[in-house]
Amino acid sequence: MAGERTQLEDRPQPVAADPAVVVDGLSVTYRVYEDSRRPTLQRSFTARFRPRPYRAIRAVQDVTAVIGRGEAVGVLGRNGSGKSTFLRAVAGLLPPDSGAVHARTTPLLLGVAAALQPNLSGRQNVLVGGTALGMRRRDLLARTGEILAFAGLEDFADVPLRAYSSGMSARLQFAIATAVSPEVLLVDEALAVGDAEFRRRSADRIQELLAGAGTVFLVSHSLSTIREICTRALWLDQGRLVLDGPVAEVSAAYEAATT
Amino acid sequence: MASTVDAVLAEHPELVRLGGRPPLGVYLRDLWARREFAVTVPLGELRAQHMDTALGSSWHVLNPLISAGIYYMVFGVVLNARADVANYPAFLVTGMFVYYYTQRTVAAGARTVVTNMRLIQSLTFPRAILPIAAAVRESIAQGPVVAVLLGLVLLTGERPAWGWLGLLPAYALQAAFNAGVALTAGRATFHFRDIEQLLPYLLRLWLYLSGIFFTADRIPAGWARTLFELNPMHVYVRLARELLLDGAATPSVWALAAGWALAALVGGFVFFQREEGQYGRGW
Repeated sequence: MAGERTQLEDRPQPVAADPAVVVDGLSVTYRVYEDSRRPTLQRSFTARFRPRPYRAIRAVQDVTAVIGRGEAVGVLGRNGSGKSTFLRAVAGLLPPDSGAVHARTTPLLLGVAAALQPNLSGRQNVLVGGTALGMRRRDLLARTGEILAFAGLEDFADVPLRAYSSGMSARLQFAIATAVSPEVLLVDEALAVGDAEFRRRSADRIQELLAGAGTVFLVSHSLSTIREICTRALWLDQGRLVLDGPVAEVSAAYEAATT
Repeated sequence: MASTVDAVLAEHPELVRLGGRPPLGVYLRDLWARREFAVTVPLGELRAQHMDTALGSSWHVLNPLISAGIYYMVFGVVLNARADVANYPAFLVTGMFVYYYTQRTVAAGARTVVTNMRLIQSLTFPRAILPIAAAVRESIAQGPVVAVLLGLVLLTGERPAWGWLGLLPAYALQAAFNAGVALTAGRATFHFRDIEQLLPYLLRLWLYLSGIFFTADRIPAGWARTLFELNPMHVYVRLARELLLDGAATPSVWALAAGWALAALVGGFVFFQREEGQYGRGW
């Protein structure tokens, strides 16, 4: 670990000519309340009224990076290394404890956790998700067919979402989110649930966003997906930035360290 | 390292700091930009809500109607509150329907932040839109309820009067009041989940304190009567009753209804928005 830190600090940092996202010394700490080990009847009545024991989990610690327009950044790390927390903080969804994230417009996070309504049909959810992202209802009504077709869900348009498989609802979310052409798109494992055909189409859609000077962050456990899509990679371990550089270099170092 | 970042930020002022609480003007503009969301979600929910019950959305009317039937027996007949009022059935039904509108909105508003936690954690939008959407949903649902109420009042022998048109502004004022209380309840439940358990009792207490089954004359004149008459629930109930049964409402009641609407909406909004940026910190 110590050797890797020096390695990071010695390297010249990649600085983008046209920055889209500036992550400045970002730290995020979670407070997780712990259950008392032996619950007793008396404790279950009094526990609420005294300060509950909690553990502070430092999920992201002092991460700094400047990311430019047109860059596709892979975020690498083991389970619990802070990747998802990092993305949520970059999206402005989690308040940082110190440091800050700066961007031109609020980045759009595409996560496995659905922002959609389980009791509504796919068609209704296009309207709900799209208006939540600030699209006009009129535009959405005109594009619903196209969005459902991209997700490959024409036959399930009027079925409530709770009957969808996890892959189907992830496809729908991806289709809605990319329909708004966000300046910065953050993708958290959402591509992993689609089938091969959908993965190819979504990779194409990401390339379109990048070509239009968009920026993409991608969290995935699949190194091959990251190598295929990304140009740059950040390696996080225990919330700290271990390495930041071209994707080939960082993914090779990550692979060497984890296998 | 830090100096590089500072230099980049100094060179690119278009990069703004994310998160936290935006200035009020920006917040209101964002809220307005999402106004279609505040209508789309409730419309979808109303459609989905009743797909599982045989009687569907008629429950919005049946709930207050069944309660009114029970209270008519208990208060009207057994305790003889009907002796105080000329048209007790209309008096009671109006009270119940007006009360249930606020009751449903507050109960729905209280749950919004907690039940939409996943939405909050995955999308950036002005959070106030959630309780507001709940208030919009209940206001849409209240439309047919009012139509049924007018039918019932006609059945009890009342004649339509021009004063009935006053129900529209009265409804708008109550809608604003409800939205304010929904915002307040949304943030309160976020801090103390226990409120969700307590809320049905608080709402029932409010029902008993708002003169739904009895007139203010039953309260001894003095400070108790004054407090009773200032109670916003009683204000909206009284407003609707005077419009429907007397054909016109007392100006002081209109003033109280407007004052409560403004105070609740502004107060609830400010209270809710102070915590903006923290709502994603669920666990």
